This record gives sequence, structure tokens and C-alpha cells, in this order.
Amino acid sequence: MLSLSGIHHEYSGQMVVDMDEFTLAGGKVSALVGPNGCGKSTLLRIMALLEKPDRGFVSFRGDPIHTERTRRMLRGTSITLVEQRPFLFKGTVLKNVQYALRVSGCGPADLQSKALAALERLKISHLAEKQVDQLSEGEKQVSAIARAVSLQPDVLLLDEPTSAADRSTVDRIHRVLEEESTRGAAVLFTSHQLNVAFRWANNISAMQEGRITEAAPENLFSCQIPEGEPGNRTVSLGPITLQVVTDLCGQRTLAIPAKDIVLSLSPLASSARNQLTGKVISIRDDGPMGVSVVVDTGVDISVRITLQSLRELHIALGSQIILSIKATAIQIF
Amino acid sequence: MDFIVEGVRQGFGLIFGGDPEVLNIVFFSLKVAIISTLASCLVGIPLGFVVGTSRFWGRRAVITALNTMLAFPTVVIGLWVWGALSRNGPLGEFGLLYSLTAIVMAEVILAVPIAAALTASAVQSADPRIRRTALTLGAGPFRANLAVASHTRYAIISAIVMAFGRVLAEVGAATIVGGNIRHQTRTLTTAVALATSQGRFGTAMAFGLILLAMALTVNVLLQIFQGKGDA
Repeated sequence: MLSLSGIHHEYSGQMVVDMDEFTLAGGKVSALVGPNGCGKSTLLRIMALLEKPDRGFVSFRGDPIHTERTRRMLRGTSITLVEQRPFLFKGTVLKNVQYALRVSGCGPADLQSKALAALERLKISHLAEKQVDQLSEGEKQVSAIARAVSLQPDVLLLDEPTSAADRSTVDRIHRVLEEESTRGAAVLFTSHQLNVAFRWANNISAMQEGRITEAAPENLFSCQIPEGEPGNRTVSLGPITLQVVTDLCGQRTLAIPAKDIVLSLSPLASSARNQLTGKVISIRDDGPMGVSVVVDTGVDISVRITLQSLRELHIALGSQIILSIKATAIQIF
Repeated sequence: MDFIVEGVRQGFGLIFGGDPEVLNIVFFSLKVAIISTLASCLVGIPLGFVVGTSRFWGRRAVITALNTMLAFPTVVIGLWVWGALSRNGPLGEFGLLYSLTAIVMAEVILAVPIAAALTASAVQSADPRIRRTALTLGAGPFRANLAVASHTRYAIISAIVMAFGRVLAEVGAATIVGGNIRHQTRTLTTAVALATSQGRFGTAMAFGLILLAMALTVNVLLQIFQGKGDA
């Protein structure tokens, strides 16, 4: 539905987004996780056609978007964004939803009914006549989501959609996002809350320092990083320990990109700081994406290799295998 | 001291006595100020929006030029317009010198930078999410600008009031291009200058009091709009 190619973007000479390819598929809910300042919001604004990347381009339904006219035509009913601290125009919540419908070409006859229907989907009909300056942050967030879904966009982008919402609101937002993806929309949201990303998303990507890595959900772990000098740290993941390179500490998320793990039958003399021994418990053929091998090392770690490697190493269920992981390949956020 | 008190007394007498010449000058001044303010805002506010919201080559130079023109001596503007409208000037064939149009042209040149610079400042300091939100909901650039204008309207009204105040109080350019012709191009400020030079202190004081009242009204309006903007 929406794809990015060779995107590179800087602010004042500082790289904020740098990625080769990123694709959002219709009918799927995707999550983007990453620390503050890693470029998630900028990436969303580029995807929402609100910011033009310094290099690279965005494509919609396979067609590269190069002109301002095309960008203008696609914003709204094709691609829309709900920011983390969404802005609501002065007036009532209903007026805000009506504004979105009106600028997107909805006729006056349907304005009221469509706006009320959008509010009802999020169960906030009672807020319809409320002035926006009387809303709580959570109410503002859910009102902005109602305003966005009223457009029935093909691509719905949400920046931390649940950051100010209470439990019941989170569930309502979740349900509506699922409905949107069932309708065929490509939904992408960013989140700090891994449990939300796991529960809601069909696929999860991790972002760090402007770059996206495919972080398979099975290789995402919560961990406690002790205080200390930035650099090499030892992180405990239950029965195993890993060497990582980070300047972060405290409760964090650890991601091991499945394609950055090397499998071997015997220990390698290499620069990889982590070598784990485990038993193969699952092998899945992912077609052109290669083979996904899950190894029980004390914790289950998913590894992506080629079919050729699988055959040459004679890897089968129950095989003893060694995983080599560079400390710098492990991401902390 | 007595002559000042006497001047003030005469001034009030002329104002409240409905002196036809005073009324004529007041209405002419208001006419000049209103037409000039409208024309300058028609140019200055959109220009302020472009400067405040767009990124283009030479934008900083435009901002510097606008800010410089805010402090431009009015007699220099008057001189330029006089040069353009005089018999040998590029617009001389239209015979506009010493007319309402000539004064309006000079005042517009003076007021456009005020409207543009203050609008640009208001738009630049507006929450960037306003424009982004309007755009992501499908609004085109014009509608997005309207959304920004709606949320910065008090600052923009302040810019209009400031432009009006500047035009109303201006004397140098109006004298040069208007000629201060009785019943034709005499404004409140040029009338004050003339009456003072002729020793008619009471008349000058009357015009001065009217100008003061107008300036006070303009400032009260400004305070009201700025206060609303802050609220």
C-alpha cells in the first residue's frame, strides 16, 4: 500500500531517518517501536506526506510520489496521521470531525451523520458538543483518532495513540484499528509499550538512530540494564547473559535482529562477543524470505538463514547448534 | 502656560462646535487611513503568510527587508513616491500627485511591511501542528493557511490595528505627496503642522486632541485583541 525507498532525512546536518526499504501492507496492523528521538515521528510525517525527505521517495499503491500536487491529493482520505499530541481546532469535538470530512470532500448532507458515526465508533458521542479546551489529554487523543477514522483512510498512521489513554479507551482504540485493517487499510502505530505492540500488531519493526530493523517479535525481550559507564554491558535474560553495547540503562527492550545471528556447528573464532549453544526446536520455510529457525538456548531465539545454509549445516529439529551474535548487532531501546 | 490652556479650550470648542473644516479634515484622514490600511493588509497579510509558512530561497533577505522597512523614515517613502508620480517620473502621465491616491500609495508602502512582518511573526509562532493537522486531514495549502489564520486571528487583527495607527499618525509622506491642499489633501497630521507654523495654536491643538483620541482608541483596541490572543 505504502512504501519508502532510500529515505534519508536530516535536521541541521544531523541524520534523523536513514533506511533502504520499508513497506506497509493493506489489511495489516504494524507497530514501530523505538526510543524517544530515534526518528519515529519524523518517519511518520514523511509517510504522511507532511515532510519531504532529503533523499528517496514514498510510493502509494506502487506509484512514486514526486509532485506536491500528488502529495496534496493523497493527504486526507488516502493517508492521514494522528500525532502523539494531536491538535484539535477551536470549537467542539463534532466540529473537528466535520472539518475533516468537509475538507476531504464530504457533502453537507452526510456531514452530521458521518461525524456522529465516527464518534460512536470510539464511544465518545457524549463528547460531541464539548469544547476541545475542556477535554483531557486522553479525550483529545481519542477525538483525534475519531476525526482521522471518519475519513476512512487507506493508510492510517498513529504516533503513540495510547500514550494518554486509560485502559477502556485503549481497548476501544484497539478495536477500531482492527476494524480499519479488516476494512483493508494499512495501519501503522508507534509505541513505547511493547505489550501493546505485541497485542495489536501483525508485524513489529524496531527503529533506532533513524534506522529500521526487522525485529521479529520472538527476539524482543524486556531486560534490566545496570547503571554504569556507557559501552559494553552484560545483560541477563533469565538463564542466558548477553554482551551489548549501549549507553542506556534501567528497564529496556532488547532486540536481536534474526538475520544478524550466525549459526554454526562448532564455536567460531570471530569478533562476535556472544556465543550461545542451543537446540533447534522449530524450522519454518518462509519462502523467498529464507528459513526461520527457532533455537532454545534457555530462551527461544529466532534465526533467519537461507535454505542453502540449512542444508549445508544439516540442521534439523533437535540439532545442537551454536549462535554467534555481535554485541553491536543487539539493539537496546 | 496660558496659551496652552487657551489652545486646549479653543481646540475643544472647534471639535464640539462642529467646525466644518475640522470635520472635513477628520473625515479625509479617516478615509485615507481606512483605504490605505485595507490595501496594505490585502498585500501584507498574504505576504506575511508566505514568508511565515514557506521555505524559499531568499526568505531571510525578505524578512530582513521587511524589518528594515518597519523603521524606514516616512519622508524617504514620500520622496520615492513623489519621484514616481511627479511630471517626469515613470507614473507622471497619470497626474496623481497631490491627490488622495498619491497619499494612499505612500501610506500603503509604509503599512505593508507592518502588516507583513507582524503576520509573519504571528504565523511563525503559531503551533506548527495547526497547519500539519489541516494538511493531513486533506486541506490544501489555502485552507491550511485559513486554519492557521483562524487560530492567530487576534495577532493578525493586532497587525491591522498597528498598520491603521501608523497610517493615521504619519505626516512626512502625506505632506510631500499630498501637498497639504485645503479641502483636498489635508490630513490631521499635516493640518497640525500647518496650523502650528501659522501660529494658530488652538486649531493645531484641536487636531492634536482628535489624533490623540484616535491613537488612544487604536491602542485600546490593540490591548483588547492582544489580550484575547493571550487568553
